[in-house]
Formats: sequence, structure tokens, C-alpha cells
Amino acid sequence: MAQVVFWSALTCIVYVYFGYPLLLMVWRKLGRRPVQKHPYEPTVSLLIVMHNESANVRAKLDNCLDLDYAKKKLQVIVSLDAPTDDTEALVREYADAGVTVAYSQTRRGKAAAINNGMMIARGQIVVFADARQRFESNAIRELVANFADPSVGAVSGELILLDADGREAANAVGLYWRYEKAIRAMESEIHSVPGATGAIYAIRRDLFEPLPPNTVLDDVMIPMRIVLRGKRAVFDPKAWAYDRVTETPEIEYEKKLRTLTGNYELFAQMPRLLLPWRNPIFVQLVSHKAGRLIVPYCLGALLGANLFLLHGFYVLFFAGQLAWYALAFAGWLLASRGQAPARMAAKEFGRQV
Amino acid sequence: MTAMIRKLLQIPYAFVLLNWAAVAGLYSFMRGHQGFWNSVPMGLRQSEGFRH
Repeated sequence: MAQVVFWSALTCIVYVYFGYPLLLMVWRKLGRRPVQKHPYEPTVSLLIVMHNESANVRAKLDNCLDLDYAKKKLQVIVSLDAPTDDTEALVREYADAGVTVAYSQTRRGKAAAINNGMMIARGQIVVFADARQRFESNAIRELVANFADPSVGAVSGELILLDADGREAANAVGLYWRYEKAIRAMESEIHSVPGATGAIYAIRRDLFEPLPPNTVLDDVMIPMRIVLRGKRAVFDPKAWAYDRVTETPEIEYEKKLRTLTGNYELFAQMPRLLLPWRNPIFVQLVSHKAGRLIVPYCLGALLGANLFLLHGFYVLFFAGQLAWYALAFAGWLLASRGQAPARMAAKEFGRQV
Repeated sequence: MTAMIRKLLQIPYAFVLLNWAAVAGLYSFMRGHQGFWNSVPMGLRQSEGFRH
């Protein structure tokens, strides 16, 4: 019994982190579906949802207004979710520059604010953005060029995490993000990515359906609904947005907690995603999203089963597991020493996202 | 050297922490703590409180 649990758990973990990327590499060779991307200039609504973002408003809106896209074809919408700081006043300073405001007097959540913003969106394409990240000047042009392909319903851009020196981050979080993007790129070449990058993604406006209140992952639910309607949700590695890398795993933990809670919610709200005959990217969704939810339990099962298998190869494996967790504990001790500000920042970040 | 060790130790630490997030995420979901942006009263009408 212990052997069955041990090998099942190990197979699951290895598949999620290594087997699935390998499967994608082979799949991509056999069934690549390139997007017919061409220069294309439809009308675009750029929707940014904000709560208390007074620190980011000016930089974000200046960035939006400097984008390389025909001004008469670009509508910038800020959907305000009952801000209590100077965000509204700062946004309204940009009214003359053409920034449109949708305002909620009561705090309703991001999903409701997106729904509100979408009510005044007029562009053929809607680009979603967050307040903190900056777009490369050609980002919208790159995103919308994918919509020249009629099979494409949603496009995710690439979020580049920069370190303090302005280089692409190479810490643990940065490396994880690079691994994640490599998987998304392969998924996109085959059919679709099971979720977009919230900081930069675009959809055809006529494919939008209002989000249920309290939706945590709009950037997964919106593209997945589009995929279920028969269109593709692709990843474009040339449409860039930039963000600062989270310097500590604690801050990344808060982001992951939100994302993974959102994944549970997604499966509860859209159970048809788990029906292979309804979902054209069932394998990708289960391997990528559901797999990440299952791995921690497999890790626990692997350690527990190994306790009952302390002979031969299993002893070495057990020692390896203990060493891994001992190193993780040492990492935690190092991170804990003098890192109280980081934990406070993580909690604050968790409140903001 | 210390910085390098700290960076290397971040990898197993981040791996364990981010996997723990999946367990904590299930707990959070089961408790109904879904609105990370803000909790929204479910009974509110879609258009209530909005102006453009």
C-alpha cells in the first residue's frame, strides 16, 4: 500500500513539474497552430480597475496616454471601486486628456468594477490592465495584431518582472515566473493558455459576459469562457508589461494564495471546465491549474508513505526529502531574520491585490 | 557568499511556501473568503451605486 501511495504521489509531482512541460514540447512539435498575426488597428478600450492607487495613478495614466496607438481609436477607462484616498481626484485630472471614469460609491470588488467599466467600453477590443504595471509603448499594437486571426478571442501579454537593477529578475520568484511563461508559450502554440496575465490581456468586447460578484480570477475566468465558446486564448510574448519582482517569497505567497483560492473558486463556478468533451484545453487546464492544487497533498503523501518504506533506495529518497525540507526551514530562518518589514509588506500586498 | 547562500536557500523555501499556499487557498475557499479585492455583499444589484 505504501509503495502504491509513494509511486502515485511521485508520479503526480514529476508529471506536473516536468512531465507536463515535456508533453507540451512533443505536442507542440506535432500539432502547432501558429496565430495569423498581422498589423491591425481596431478601436480599443483600455480598462484599468482601481481602488486606492494614488501612488500609481499618474505614472499609469501617463503611460497609457503615451502608448503607440492612434489616439482617436483608444479609449482609456478607469473603473474606480470606491476609493478612499486621492485616486478619484487624480484620475479626474486626466478627463481633458480623454480618460473616462466609471465610479462605484460603494466598494463592490474587482469583478463588479470590471463589469461597470465594460458598460461604457466602446472599443472592438478591450485591454485589461492593473494600476501598478507599465506597458511597453507598442504593447497594445502587439496585442491587437493577434485579433487579425478570427479564431483568436483573447490574448495575454507577457509580464516581465524586473529586479532593483532593472534587469529581468533571477531570484526564486523570477525563475518560477520564467518557467511559468515558458509553459504558457507552449500551451498557446498548441491551442490556448488556461488563463491570462492580469496585468496585460485583451479580448474581443463582444465575447465578454459579466463576471459573477466576488470572482477572484477575472484573468482566468474571462479567457476560459472565451475558450469554451470555441475561440482561442493565446499568449503573445512580444506584448510586454513591466513590474517589480517581489523580493521575498512571503509577498509571492500572498499572491499565490489569492491565485490558488481563485482556482478552487473557478472550478466551483465553472464545473464544465472539468468535462473533457466541453473543454478543448481540458488536458492543459487539469495539468497546469488543477495539478498545482494537488501537488502539496502529493508531497505530504510522499513523505508519509516514505516513512513506511525505509529500506534500500527509499532510505536515500527519504534522506533527500528531509534534506530538502531542512533547507527550506533554513531558508525560512534566514528570511525571518530581520524580515518583519517584508512580512508586513506581504500582508499589505495581500490586501491590495 | 552569504547572499548566494540566502538566494539558494530561497528556492526550497519558496517551493514549500508556494505549495503551502495551495493548502491555505483551499481553507480560504472553504471559509468563503473569496473576495480578495474586497468582500462584496452578494445581495447588491449589479448597477447599484455606480455612476459614470
